[in-house]
Amino acid sequence: MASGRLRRKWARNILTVLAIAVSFSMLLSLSSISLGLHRASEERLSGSPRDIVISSLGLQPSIENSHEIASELKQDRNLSAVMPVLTVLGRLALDKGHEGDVEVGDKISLKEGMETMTVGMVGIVPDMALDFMEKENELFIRSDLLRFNGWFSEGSDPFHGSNYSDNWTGELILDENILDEHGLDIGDRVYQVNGSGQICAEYTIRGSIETSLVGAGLTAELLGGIGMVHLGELQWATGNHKKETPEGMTSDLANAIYLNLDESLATTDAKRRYSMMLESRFPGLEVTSKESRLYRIDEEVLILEVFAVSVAAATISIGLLFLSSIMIIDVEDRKADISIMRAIGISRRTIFLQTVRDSLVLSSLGAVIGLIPGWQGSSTIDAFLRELYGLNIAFSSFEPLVFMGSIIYLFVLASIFSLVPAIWATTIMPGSTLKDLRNR
Amino acid sequence: MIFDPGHYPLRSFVLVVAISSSIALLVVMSSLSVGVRESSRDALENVGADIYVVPDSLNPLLLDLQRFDHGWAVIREIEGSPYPPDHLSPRLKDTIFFGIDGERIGETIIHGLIPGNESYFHQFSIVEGSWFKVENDPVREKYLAGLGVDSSTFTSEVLISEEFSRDHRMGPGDMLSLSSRMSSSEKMLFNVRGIYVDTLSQRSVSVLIHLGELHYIQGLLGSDPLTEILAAYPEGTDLEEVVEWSNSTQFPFDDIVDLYTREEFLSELYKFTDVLSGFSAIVISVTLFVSLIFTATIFMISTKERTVEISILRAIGFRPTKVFLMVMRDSILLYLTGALAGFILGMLMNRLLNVLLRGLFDGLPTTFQPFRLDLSIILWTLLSAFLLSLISGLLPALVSARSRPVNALRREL
Repeated sequence: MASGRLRRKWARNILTVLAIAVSFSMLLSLSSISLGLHRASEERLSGSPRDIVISSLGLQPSIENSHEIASELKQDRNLSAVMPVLTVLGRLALDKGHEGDVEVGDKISLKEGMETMTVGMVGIVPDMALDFMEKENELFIRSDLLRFNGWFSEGSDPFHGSNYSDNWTGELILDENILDEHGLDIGDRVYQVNGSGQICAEYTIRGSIETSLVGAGLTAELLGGIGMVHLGELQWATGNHKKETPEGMTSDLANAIYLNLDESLATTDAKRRYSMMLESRFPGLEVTSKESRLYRIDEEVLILEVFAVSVAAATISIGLLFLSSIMIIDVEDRKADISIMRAIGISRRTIFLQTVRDSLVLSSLGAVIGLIPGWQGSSTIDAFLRELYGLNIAFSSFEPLVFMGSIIYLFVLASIFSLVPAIWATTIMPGSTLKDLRNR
Repeated sequence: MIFDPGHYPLRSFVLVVAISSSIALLVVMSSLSVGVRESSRDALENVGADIYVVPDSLNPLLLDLQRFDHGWAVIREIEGSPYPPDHLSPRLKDTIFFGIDGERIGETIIHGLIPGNESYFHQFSIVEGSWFKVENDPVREKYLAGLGVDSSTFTSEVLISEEFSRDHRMGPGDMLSLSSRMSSSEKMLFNVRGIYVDTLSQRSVSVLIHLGELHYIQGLLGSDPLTEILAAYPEGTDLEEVVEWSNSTQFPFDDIVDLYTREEFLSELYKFTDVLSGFSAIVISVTLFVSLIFTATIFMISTKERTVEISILRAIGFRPTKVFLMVMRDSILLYLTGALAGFILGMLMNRLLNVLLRGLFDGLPTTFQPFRLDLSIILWTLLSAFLLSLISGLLPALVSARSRPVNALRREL
């Protein structure tokens, strides 16, 4: 019966369905982007195997004696893995422009016009890092998953072991984007540049790292890529091995220590107690659990999610407001029919439901037609954002959950917006309308 | 009137609400891209620097994350250049451990600066107490003169940010101890002279101190690192020429620092914010397209309903052009009513969203208004409404004007 009524006014209904399809495809695309952002942020941390991070504010490393602290903590039976980490922005030069090796302590001026790049440098102790690799060759640093192709041949940190005087390994695992872009290969040498614009360290490439950065787009303009070296060597190259301050010598600086708790501390309570113990042991430093880091990331992404969904909701609401106008016109057109229906005893409830049903039928057709453009829109936005930012992460996630959620949202809104015409339809009195018709 | 609101009050009301909602969305989405762009520009212009000196190869958006050495030598070179600036302010952003009443509290961000140099720029504005009493940098001056430096040379003044003051219930006159080390028995005490707001990051929890004193505490006097130098030039200086000079061999620190004009800085920032403009454009296009389909349909239906009246008008001598214009006039009036209501609704939503976002994002600059109207949005809104009314009214108007009164009356009656 409904289809018969809708077929009678086919032209207007086709246009109505088309407009709802466009709105619905927008809702689908933006909802999938919202879910994609959520999933990406969750994956960033849920995959991370470390339970607790002790960290400094981050601008400059301030955890002293990091190797020693890590070794001490490793003796703690409550911990299954410990690793000190130093992350800094560094400058790498691809060619030092001079003959001969760079020895420890050398300061060589950069050659005129020599190309340098900003690289996120990570210092680790390779053997300790292995304890954090749940999958072979995969390690989370901060919240980024690094996949390695090649690894350090020296597992310990011998340069630190020699009190920063000997046993420089010079091993570097470098971002594959940098290798590709500059035609570098395993065995090639690159050089670290200090704050005075001088070459202060030489590294030999031992392997490559695959990250979420693709070496293009906006992120590439900020950061060339990631480079990983032995902790002691990065400390030396960045002046974080020893610092003379009025309060005495500070040495062996790092900006984080990653900890994995033993299975015996798996409960939330035990984790909290252990975190509190660490807070009192490291006054002034931040001790964060996996849960709190996840919460923080969720909070950051929530704004974007809410924004995307709000815009989508506003768009579909506007579409449904127009649908409401069309339904009002429909009721006006059917005034005589409704009067007759009321006169022959059809209840107000039936007339109410009929109007709501018509509205839902049009919305459903719009949803079905909008499904493919919505999915296409989601993929297009995803591809566009990946290219724009140069990040290999899924910005959208087109799952059944998105479709179901959007359909439910559409039906709820369509029902609400059809209330006005539906209620109005129930107020049409049999006698008055028929009289109107007679007068016409 | 063809679309008679008196005759169809409910239909007209819902239609105007729908049109005004789509126009409001247009206003809000356009305001977002304009607001983010203009607010960033305002915030940077408010600081007052024409040129930013940052570490070499560093994108200016990563400012503060890297430092360069030989700060004073770089400053001397820039001052002695063919383009000497009027004002220069060196800065070092760092982190430091702090304590209150002899108790270690935590780590905080600290900006080292020279108060006299910084006073020309407007990033830090005092809200309580006063600015530094000592305008120069005695520790640095003494060190450069080759004299011995120790903590007795200190001015021992600090300023704390409003958020720091709130978090730790401190104010002018209180004492704060600063230390470079996590565990140190040494207590270097500083007197809080005032509370400031960082106009680029309102909720910043940070401390200001004399640059030389920060260098001394952190053991950095020798290497003299800075994170940035702000420079203001005399009016009429060709800033592009200054940047060109800094990239030439005449500037010996080309390997250490890069100079960015404010415009270059902004253009780097816009690369990231422009994605919002693209997003807004997509949302606006879809919404306007949906509005267009619906209003065209509704106008068509309304015109059809009025076939008898139109036919009578034509029969009594109304020319097709007049009928065409009547339908178009109704369409334009309806859209402009919706546009006006939508514009007011959009402005209210802008205000509400600005308040909401300021509450949500801690670090927004004080002048930051992410949703902001400008003349282009007003014109764009009016133009969109006008064009939509023309397009959506065109088909019904043509149908009405071309209808043959006799045929139409025969069909309808």
